[in-house]
Amino acid sequence: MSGRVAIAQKEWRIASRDSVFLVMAILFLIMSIASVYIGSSTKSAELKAYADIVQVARQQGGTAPAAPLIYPLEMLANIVDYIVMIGAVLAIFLGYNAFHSERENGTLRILLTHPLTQKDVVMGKLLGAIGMIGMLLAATFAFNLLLFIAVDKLVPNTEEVARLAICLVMAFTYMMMFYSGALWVSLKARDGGFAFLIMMIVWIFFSFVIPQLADTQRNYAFAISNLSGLVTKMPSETAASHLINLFSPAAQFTNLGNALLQADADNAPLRLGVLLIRQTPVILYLLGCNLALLILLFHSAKREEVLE
Amino acid sequence: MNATAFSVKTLAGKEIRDASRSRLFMIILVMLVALVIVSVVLGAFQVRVNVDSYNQSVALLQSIGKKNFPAAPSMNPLSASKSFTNYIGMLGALLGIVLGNATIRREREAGTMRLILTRQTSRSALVNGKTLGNLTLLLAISVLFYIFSAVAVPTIGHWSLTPDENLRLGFFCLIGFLYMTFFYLLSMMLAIVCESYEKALLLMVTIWLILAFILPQIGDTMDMDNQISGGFFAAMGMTRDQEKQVLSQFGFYEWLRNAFEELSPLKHFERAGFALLNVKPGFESNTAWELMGIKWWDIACLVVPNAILWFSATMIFKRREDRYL
Repeated sequence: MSGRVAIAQKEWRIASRDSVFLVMAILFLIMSIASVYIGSSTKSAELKAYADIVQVARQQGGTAPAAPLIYPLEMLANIVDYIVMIGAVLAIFLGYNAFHSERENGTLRILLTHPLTQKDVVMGKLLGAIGMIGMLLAATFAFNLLLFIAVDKLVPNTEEVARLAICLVMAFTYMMMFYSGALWVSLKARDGGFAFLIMMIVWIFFSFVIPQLADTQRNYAFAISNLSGLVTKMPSETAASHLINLFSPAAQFTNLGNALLQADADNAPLRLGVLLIRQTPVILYLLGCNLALLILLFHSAKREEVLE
Repeated sequence: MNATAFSVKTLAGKEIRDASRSRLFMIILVMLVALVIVSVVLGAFQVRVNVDSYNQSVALLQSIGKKNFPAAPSMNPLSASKSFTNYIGMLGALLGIVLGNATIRREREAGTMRLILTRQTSRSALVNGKTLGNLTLLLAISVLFYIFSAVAVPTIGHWSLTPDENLRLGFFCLIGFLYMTFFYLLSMMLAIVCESYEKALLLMVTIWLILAFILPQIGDTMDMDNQISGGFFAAMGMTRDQEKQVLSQFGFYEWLRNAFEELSPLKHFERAGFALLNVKPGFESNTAWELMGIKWWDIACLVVPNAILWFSATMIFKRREDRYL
């Protein structure tokens, strides 16, 4: 156990000395803080616009439209996008060089002269990443809650705190998926830059290309407003778009995160318990992907002779 | 041909050969080509469905003896290339990043930089040769896409493109090329400046994340009309004039939102591209040349940074002798 902890501590030290990783971590924290301001200012602008609309309608002797339904937690929903964009890349930054740098420096051989197995080395690296990603997300949780209270002057109830906490736990699962993937590529690749770019291609494919393809298969119904006569396009999921999105953990996490943070109109009114039951397949999907990658990682580490 | 021009040409040719041997470049290129083919073919099929549907309606009217047929609706055949904007936005930029980083890394790792500079090749010829070679590759990708789209829409979609539509498509591909060039030049400049190519790559990806993902996302989030499916103002039953009236009271807010978007090359590419492809309504009656005039700011926001980056990369490379000799 002490060997694994020592490796985890070493991972921490290396990451804390890596200026680019620190820039990314700071960017992640800044964006998680900024997301509260952005969300809050957008919703405030929306409410002010609504007040103006009501005033215009009254002046013209018309009927005021119903107020837009705004859930307080919705103001934090931007964090879901930042986890998909910055969080995943941060995890790749942490993992892409984990084995390659050891191999290059010759420290892997030295490490294995100690009473440590390949499993211990992988475990140690995973522990280090769990600590770092966990700490970043814990800080995000604290900042979001504090800013939610300070900026929006709202005190979240227990259910809202639980929703945010579950969203960040799933964000942790999502980020660990990319870390495990990067660790596996690092184990196989002989060049750090190559491993990093391969992981970036994987990230783009799962986070943007698949959702984009799914988007092309969505249905767009045309709705005509009875007040203004304007025609607007209303997107809706089809069996094909749903099926394509099943191949994207990013799309699954985004849907889950938006549902938890009440940014998704269909799921927002649901109580947390009901929502969690409804989202159980997605939660199991994300956990399953993670587990599959971990099994692959340990299996490959065991067979990888270069480790020795 | 003078010695400098010969050096530039030789180096450009070498860059193209090197890129074609790069596994990473080929992986991204194959992925990009596959996605473009899929998206253009799907888009062209959509055009065909619309054309067939109109022809069936006309045939039905003819069969019941009607002689006045409704005018054909706008098929917007150019929208078949819409997804290309998103793929170039992500994979095209990554392609530029990989090429820009590899062009310096390769020579540095193999030690050939010193060797090349012992010949009659100036430092500026070296940078320009490399840049021209890689830009030729990026331009070739854009031209191939243009040819593919221009052939696929009439063949699969059964709808001929007018000369102006062809020109619009051509301009769109050209702007896509300018967008990829931006990331190539920035990546090359960082590889020249940084001592470690890996650090340059990580830094470049961080900048790319900010410019192409975070800034547009902030702009989209701050867009009030984006908050509700179908649009906030439409949900409120407002006309476009009323929407403008309300938005005029959010001067600073809209200025700030626009400022975030102005910082992103992706947004400039999208703004000009979506107008050329008629994805954004309001530009249907303009000619391709008129659109280039209307969107001059977005085009300038891609051309000017490219010129600055190219000049800066050359100047830095010329002055940082300690790094390479």
